[in-house]
Amino acid sequence: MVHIAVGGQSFFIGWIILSGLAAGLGSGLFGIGGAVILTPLLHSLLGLPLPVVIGTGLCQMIAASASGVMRFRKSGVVDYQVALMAAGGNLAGVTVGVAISEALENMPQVTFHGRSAPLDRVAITGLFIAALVLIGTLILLEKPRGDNPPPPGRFLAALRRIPPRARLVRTGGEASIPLLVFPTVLVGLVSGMLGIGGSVFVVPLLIYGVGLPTHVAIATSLLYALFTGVFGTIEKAITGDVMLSLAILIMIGSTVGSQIGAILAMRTRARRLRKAFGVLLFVSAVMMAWKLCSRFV
Amino acid sequence: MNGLRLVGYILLCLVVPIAWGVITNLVFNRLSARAPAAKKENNDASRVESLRQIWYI
Repeated sequence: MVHIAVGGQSFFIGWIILSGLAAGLGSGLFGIGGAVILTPLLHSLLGLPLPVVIGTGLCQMIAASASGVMRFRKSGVVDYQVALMAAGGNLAGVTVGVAISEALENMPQVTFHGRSAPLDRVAITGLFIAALVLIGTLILLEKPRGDNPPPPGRFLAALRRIPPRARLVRTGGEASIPLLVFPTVLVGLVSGMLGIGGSVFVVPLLIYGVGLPTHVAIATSLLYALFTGVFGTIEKAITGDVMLSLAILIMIGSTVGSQIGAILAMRTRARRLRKAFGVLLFVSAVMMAWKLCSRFV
Repeated sequence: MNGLRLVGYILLCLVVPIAWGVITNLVFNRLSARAPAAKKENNDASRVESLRQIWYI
């Protein structure tokens, strides 16, 4: 059996390729980066070091999302305009998030069971989990009209009218630019501060905020994940947390997985995809809570 | 964090993303306005080419 050495330990490459396949499947199916699937598989199950898993996970995200986007492109459901606008907001947010994280280095610590963590990180992670649970609950409780989500309430409809507005060339209709970019700035801020992705928030934003059809939202979010993957990989490569040989193995699986995921997504009804996405948000919340708890236990 | 840097960060979070969104929107709308004309020209060119081929063959 062929093994790869990571952090002084050797790992069977078949498990790593399979982990990549699972992450890619989630990536293509839900339009996410796939870290939420890859991190528990590689770190908790196989025991790879967390910094390497996060850095390399970002690197494989480029291949997985590019592969999925290419598949979605054939179906004509990728909205490049929306993805570019959202990625710009994310980049601004990440830049400021990293700077805030450095400025808050001397924050008081929260101590529990004799172990401590910075108060700001604990508070932001708590808010992140709460947001995941809230959005997940709203998606699971929605009463759709056929395959479409319910029409926006008065508040959301008012938000959608905030100027300046963009005319969406590919999908048709109009979208409020502030409603599209400010949430991605916020997601970028949190990503920069906590060092995590945030593409799980983008699909709900595109469906309920911008009003894109579910399949278009998933395909567009995947393109957004591609952009954030590129930014993140550059940053992690500078700090030396990207292991290229490991990334290539994961990419072999995730590229194939993402294609399968995208094909499955196009064959699944929008209503079912949204429900499955709601469950995924709960899984992400559990993951974040577990990460937070593991700092103290 | 000094005051000037704070102003820079606020601008980066509030003004730059909106400006980016507006510019991206303008570019895409301009490109889409040009696209049908370009497509038509291409079609005309290919039609002329195919007619030429038919004529010579």
